[in-house]
Amino acid sequence: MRLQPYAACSAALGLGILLSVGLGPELLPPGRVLRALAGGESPADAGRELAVDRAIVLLHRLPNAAFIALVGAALAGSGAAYQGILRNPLADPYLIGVAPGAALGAVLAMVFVGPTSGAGLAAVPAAAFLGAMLTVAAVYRIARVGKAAPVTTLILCGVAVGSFVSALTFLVLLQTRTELRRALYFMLGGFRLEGWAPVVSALPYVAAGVLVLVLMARHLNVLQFGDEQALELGLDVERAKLVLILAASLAAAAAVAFAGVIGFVGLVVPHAARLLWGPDYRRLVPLSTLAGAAALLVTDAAARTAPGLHSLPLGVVTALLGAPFFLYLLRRRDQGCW
Amino acid sequence: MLKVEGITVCYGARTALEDASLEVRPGEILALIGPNGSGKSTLIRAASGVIAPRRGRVTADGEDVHGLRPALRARKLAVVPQAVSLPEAFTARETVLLGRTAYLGWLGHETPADREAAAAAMERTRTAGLAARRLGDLSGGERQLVLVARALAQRARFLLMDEPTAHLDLRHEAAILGLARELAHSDGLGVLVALHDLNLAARHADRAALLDAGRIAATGSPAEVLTPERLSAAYGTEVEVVRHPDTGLPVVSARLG
Repeated sequence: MRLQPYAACSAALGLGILLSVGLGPELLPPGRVLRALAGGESPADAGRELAVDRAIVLLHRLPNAAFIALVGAALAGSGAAYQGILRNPLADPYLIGVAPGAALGAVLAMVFVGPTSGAGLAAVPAAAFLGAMLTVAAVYRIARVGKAAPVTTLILCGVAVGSFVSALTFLVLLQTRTELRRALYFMLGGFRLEGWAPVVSALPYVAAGVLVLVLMARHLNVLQFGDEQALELGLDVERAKLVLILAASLAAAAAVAFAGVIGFVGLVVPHAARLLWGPDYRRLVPLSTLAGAAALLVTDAAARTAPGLHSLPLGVVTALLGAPFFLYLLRRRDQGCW
Repeated sequence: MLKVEGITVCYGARTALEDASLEVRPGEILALIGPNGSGKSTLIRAASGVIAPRRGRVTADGEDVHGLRPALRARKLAVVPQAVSLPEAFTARETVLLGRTAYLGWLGHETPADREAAAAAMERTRTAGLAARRLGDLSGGERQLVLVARALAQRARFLLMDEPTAHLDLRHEAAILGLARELAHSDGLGVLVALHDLNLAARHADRAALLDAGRIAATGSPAEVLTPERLSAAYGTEVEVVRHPDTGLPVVSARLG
């Protein structure tokens, strides 16, 4: 097994964490971050500054970094899996229902539960998660004829159900004046809850989903030869597809429920990983997961500090920064640089 | 013994195969011949278990192929598909290793034994030299040989080949069918091969089955099946058959005009 790509991705992830924790209104170099984390033994006059640093790191920067890494990992890992299941280069975590379903759930919660109460805050991610999973289930159920859910049918059903669900979302939005901006921010990946709560809530789903994808990655390799050959090779194709779809959707839905619909990461990071490290999903899924976390951390750090990008929804920034980078990779490949 | 017993296969309202029966014995090559659309590929797909017949059944060594779990079925029957639309970025070695899918646990962990089986299959098909090459960089014939290697890695008793020589040059044609003969005659595999080219069937098969509009029109030795009358009826054109001066095998061609 070649370890070099893992080292590169882990290094990028480490760098991303340092950037994410260090950058912000108060610039914290790595040394200060470490001292803040370690605490203790400092001159008395520096004690107050240390306490402030500790608060910034532990209450804001670190939970934010953990959350962003989790979301990037979930989107890119599940994106790689979706591309493998659907054998379609345009596939991303949102193609068969996660994004429109989450948006509808979130908007319903925003409009009908109300934003101010504590219950209202928890209702948005809960409804978004539920909406995402129900929409994927509906797409799968409709696409399934007899024992099989052919991938082309899955994609077309995903697009049709997605359009329908999005229409419902806009219908609800047209009835409200007050929630338009929040809803728009959710749909552009600018939704955010503070503190450790979203990390703790999303982690089990993301971890379980990505773990299943990593463990079952060889099935994705077999599926690349088409459902029929996969079946002839001895893979229980429909069961494998169902478990993979479930795991990928679980991870993506948990991420979207707390972060909103952040686009592009789940589409482009797996492609970039494939360009750099080849088609074997046993490497592609874990590497995409690591690279996705790193990429979103860097993007988020840039979004929080760069003058022009400040206060833009994260989903907009991922596309603004990610698209040119991906086009550069594509051009290099087509010019035969590797 | 691979037995196809009176199967009828329909695609929607169209009947692609009607009451078709044949047997593939261990140690022989049975060539499946017939015009375009006569049901050759359908019979291969039904025999391999990927499509279920409306009536009839397929058994491999007495076990109903369509009742078996995919993994158990793949240990009995290996399919060599046509080498079209393969994922280009996979290497030949990675592709052949996928032939071990039926032997792996649910998590798909490959053991040294699996890698040995794949390596042996590549030696056998003389594709070991291609191991690190990507499928997209191989010629049509090389890709077909890699797919044969993948099927051999399945260590199955029966081999089903769907027009393995389509679009291949003479050398690869001879390599593929020579290998199929060796696998049947030396290793005792039962080989069912759909062939477009009647002369290849005459040259390489032990027996032949002629499909005509979804029905088996004749089964027997190539000399018995490849007669002008039968072929003219099945192909809807005047067909003449002469004997090869050296081998005595039938040589088939359509009559001009």
